[in-house]
Amino acid sequence: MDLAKLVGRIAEVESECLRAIEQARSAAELTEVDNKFLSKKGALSELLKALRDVAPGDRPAVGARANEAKSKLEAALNAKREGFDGAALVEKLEKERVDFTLPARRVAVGSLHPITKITAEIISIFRRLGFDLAEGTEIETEFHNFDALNMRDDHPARDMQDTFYLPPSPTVKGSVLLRTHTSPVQIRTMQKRKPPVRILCPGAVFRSDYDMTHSPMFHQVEGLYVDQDVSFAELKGALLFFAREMFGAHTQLRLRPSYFPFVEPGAEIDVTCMACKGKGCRVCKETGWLEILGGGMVHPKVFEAVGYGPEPLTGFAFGMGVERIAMLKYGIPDLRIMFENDVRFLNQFGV
Amino acid sequence: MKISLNWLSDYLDVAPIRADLKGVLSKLTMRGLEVESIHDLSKGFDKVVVALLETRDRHPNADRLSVCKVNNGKETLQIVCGAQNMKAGDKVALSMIGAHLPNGLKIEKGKIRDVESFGMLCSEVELGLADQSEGIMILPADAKVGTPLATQLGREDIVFELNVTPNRGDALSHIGVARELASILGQKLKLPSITVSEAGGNTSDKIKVALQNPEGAPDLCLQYHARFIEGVKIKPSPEWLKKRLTSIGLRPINNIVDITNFILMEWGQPLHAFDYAQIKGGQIQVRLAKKGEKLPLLDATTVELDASDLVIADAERPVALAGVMGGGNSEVTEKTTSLLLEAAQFLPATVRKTARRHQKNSDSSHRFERQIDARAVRNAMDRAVALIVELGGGKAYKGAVSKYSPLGERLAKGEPRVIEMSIRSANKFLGTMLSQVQAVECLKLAGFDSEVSGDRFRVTVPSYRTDVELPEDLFEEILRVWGYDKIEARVPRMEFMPEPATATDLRSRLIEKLKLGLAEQGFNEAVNFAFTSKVTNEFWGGEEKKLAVELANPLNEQFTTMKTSLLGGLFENFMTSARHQQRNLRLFEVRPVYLRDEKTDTGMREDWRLTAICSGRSFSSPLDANDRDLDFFDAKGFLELALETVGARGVRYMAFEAQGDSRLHPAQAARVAIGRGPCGMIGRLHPKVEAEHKLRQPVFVFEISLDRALEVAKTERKFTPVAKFPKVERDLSLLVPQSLLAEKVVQTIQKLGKPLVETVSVVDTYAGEKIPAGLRSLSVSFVLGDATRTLEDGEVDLITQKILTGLDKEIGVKLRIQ
Repeated sequence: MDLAKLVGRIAEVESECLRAIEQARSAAELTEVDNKFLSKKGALSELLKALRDVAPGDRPAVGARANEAKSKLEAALNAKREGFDGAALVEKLEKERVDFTLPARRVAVGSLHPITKITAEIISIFRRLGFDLAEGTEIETEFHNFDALNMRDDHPARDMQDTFYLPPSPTVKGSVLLRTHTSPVQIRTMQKRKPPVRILCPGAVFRSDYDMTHSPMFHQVEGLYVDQDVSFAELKGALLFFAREMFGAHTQLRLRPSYFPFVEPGAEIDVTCMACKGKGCRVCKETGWLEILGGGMVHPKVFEAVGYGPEPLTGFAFGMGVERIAMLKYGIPDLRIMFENDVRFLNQFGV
Repeated sequence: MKISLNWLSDYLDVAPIRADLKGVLSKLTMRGLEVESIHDLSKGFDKVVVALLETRDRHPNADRLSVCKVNNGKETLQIVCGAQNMKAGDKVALSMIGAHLPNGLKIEKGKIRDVESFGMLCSEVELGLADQSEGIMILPADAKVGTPLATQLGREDIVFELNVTPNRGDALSHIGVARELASILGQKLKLPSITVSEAGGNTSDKIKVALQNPEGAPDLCLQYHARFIEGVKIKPSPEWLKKRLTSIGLRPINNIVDITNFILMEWGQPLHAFDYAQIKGGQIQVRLAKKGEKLPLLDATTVELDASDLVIADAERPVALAGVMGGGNSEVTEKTTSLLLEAAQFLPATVRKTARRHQKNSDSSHRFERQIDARAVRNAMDRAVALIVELGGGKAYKGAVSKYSPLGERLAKGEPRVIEMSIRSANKFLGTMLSQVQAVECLKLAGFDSEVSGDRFRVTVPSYRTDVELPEDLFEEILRVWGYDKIEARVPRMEFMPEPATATDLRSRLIEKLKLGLAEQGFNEAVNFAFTSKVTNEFWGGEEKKLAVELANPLNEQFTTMKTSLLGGLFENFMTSARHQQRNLRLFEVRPVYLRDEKTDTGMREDWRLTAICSGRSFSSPLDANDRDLDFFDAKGFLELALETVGARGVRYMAFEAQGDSRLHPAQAARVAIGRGPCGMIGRLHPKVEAEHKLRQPVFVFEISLDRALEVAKTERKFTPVAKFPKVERDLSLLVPQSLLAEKVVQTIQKLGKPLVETVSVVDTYAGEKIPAGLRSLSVSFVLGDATRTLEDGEVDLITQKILTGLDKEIGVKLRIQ
């Protein structure tokens, strides 16, 4: 075969192959094209066998032309094949499509009790003011629950708290009872620790009363701060800080004189009604205020009972009902529902 | 305490109160006398008037009805009425068209059986005056026709309810409240003038009084005054007195009893009138009762007295329970002609004890317990005597017989109490910057006179403020008047180093994490009462129920016993939700149980528990074809995972002793051990319980002692280098006797594989086809490694062989040959 004819054949094969590539309808057809033209036994290789018959001086030029054709065809083939592969992949992946709106596979998350959640929230607010936690037992002596708190047996203030008693025991001096407030924790802490004392006492307390607004067991958080020169103004400051954190920055306090035997002066503390922001509504009985807290300056007889002194000390104490705050914050109408533990109730509070 | 505005007008000008009722009363609240409610007694009495029933005829179309002609002072109206108790000439209560009665009824023109009716004749029920009545209200014959009924009944009054705190005994009377209001309004209190016109002989000839205070006891009776009045006529009280009493909800009885009640509510001083004829020997002894003595009381009950009850006795027997209630054996009756009037002061504690012991709390005991004004006792008595003479006739004998105990005499006649304070300490305590003048003014308005010398005040306490004893009490008085709201809020200083986190703090954080760990596994936290019924605790209380204690005064039969396990409460919660078609239930509770323990100062120990109950599907995805019911191992997982959130690892499980736990399935239950040893249980509820409650899915529970678990909680972590050399893993399928616990196999492999075997885990268990009876297949996987080198195949084979040989020899476990 002469040179010109050979070069002409290469060009023919090239364009033939290009046409075949173009016409291929699938990856399989493309493989056929590959075999037919570009494989070792393909048309192009066959042509190159004829190179032997070409004059040695012309061989490089023909070889270059053949390689050029081969590269061009391979490139075209690959480009076409990529197109086919991509489509196949797309098809394959399409079959794996998920409906991302179907439900997740997971455990339905449980919930913490509203009492736990509110208590934790109260604690975290007072931690910022340097209060640490103190806890005691729910079963207490009469001394720690009453006598040391300036509520001796003959004191009518005892009537304010209907008490559950345990039967007398030969091994125990005096009456044993279910604590009616968390105040005995203050007493036990002061008996153990020297001032300054700045503690928060959360826990369950018990009073013999059961209706829409009273539960025989409920929860309190009390605070106590004893040091030199603690003032009533600081009590107000601590509680204002708390009220704003708990109920919102707009919240204001109203203090009214009241009486708790273990403080003097004593106060009932109202906060701006969170439902109406103080305008007056059904929740606050049109007053704009909600009674949330009680507090006052620690009575000197309490210091005496725990053996504090003789150096002059003052302190403040306050307390609040967890359920009441939970009812107001979550809008729970009936106290008793909190202790029924129906999961349809519990699930509303989450973690 | 109910306070009538009309009544208050005896002691101050109430016009400013009427003008701004809510405003003035809220100031009373801000002074510490909380106004709980305000009632307008005339509400609902608009268009209700006194009317004259002129004629009453039978209704033409109904036998039971009458057609009445009624004159309201302006016109005569035709009224159809169903009552039978009236006759022509009666004065009746007529509600005219447009009236809106207290019971909600609106009066309109009507036609009853074809006869027109222009109003209604009212009964006491319809007017909200009584709970029941027979027929319509018939008014006194002297009632003036056309008078608004509210006026006729004295209901043009405002009554407000005060919540008086136990320290403010002085405010348990109209004069006490008037005093506070006078201070608020800047008025001077007008006290009633008291003049007794005496006649006849000397009281001391008629009455002898002896105070018999027991040796060594505190003064039980501080003062006792008695007067004698002869020739009294017992009759109904005049209208003004009846109105005073009914306005605050008291029932008029007769002139004498009404006067003593009136004085009680005017001065806060309890009085008692005896029928003198019943007082044997004219002798009064104030003494302790003899144990077992009996005393019939005014309320028609009889009490058996205790040796610590203080009584008023005559020469022979008790005639009153001192400070609490008069005796039925000496009460004033229609036949009474002469009186012994008592005014006394008793020790609050003794009145309180007696009233509580016999459950006879009275208006009288309420006031004695809160302390009365020692200097007002005589005045109150004389005011009563003056009224008795005025309203009941008779002669008040000269003078009174008065006896004082040493303390009583000091209180009644001695120097008043003086407290010293300084303005500097007041300001420091309150966080205020009051001037001396301001402080003195505040005290003055609170009723306290001050003598100032330099920084120091000498403050005189009025006798009615028995609660004021210390400088701090005076600070409160200053603040009360100055205004709690004027205190500037200041955040507490932090001049000291805060305590390092206490054990309580740390524990509470761990519990918070633990609770979260359970909530994230789908558990709802429950909070239940500390007490339950005896029967419930008997069933659910666990092995510690023998240490249970019952309350001495339970609220009801549901709450008698302090719980010794939380399981019963959680099961009740579980059933509550199950009854509402809730199937996938997971509940837990963290609270103490209560166990008898003689070593503590209360005789009780509180053991905090973590208790859980669960049932239902293992996942809750509708997409899972192979979702399944929870089983024992899910429960184990919940427990272990929760404990791992606080770093408590190494939970172990042990078989129960022969008797097991009656609450649990005997073959699916175990003791749980953490750290030092057993501290709880886990298992499936006994199928009997499941069946009894018709539960279709198995229910699993666990209860552990929380603090025992927290003992091994480890929140601090230490780094150990990550292994550099590869590990080798080998699996063995073993044939194990059914009765042999997997744990034993694992432990044996661990022992035999030392030191190269690092972990051993069970990956499968199977019994059934191809496995000989009494055996099961247990697939175990173990990992070998050395921190310093790569293991060679040969040594791994060698050790595997050693393990197989050992298993066979030590516990009879062989390799399973397929």
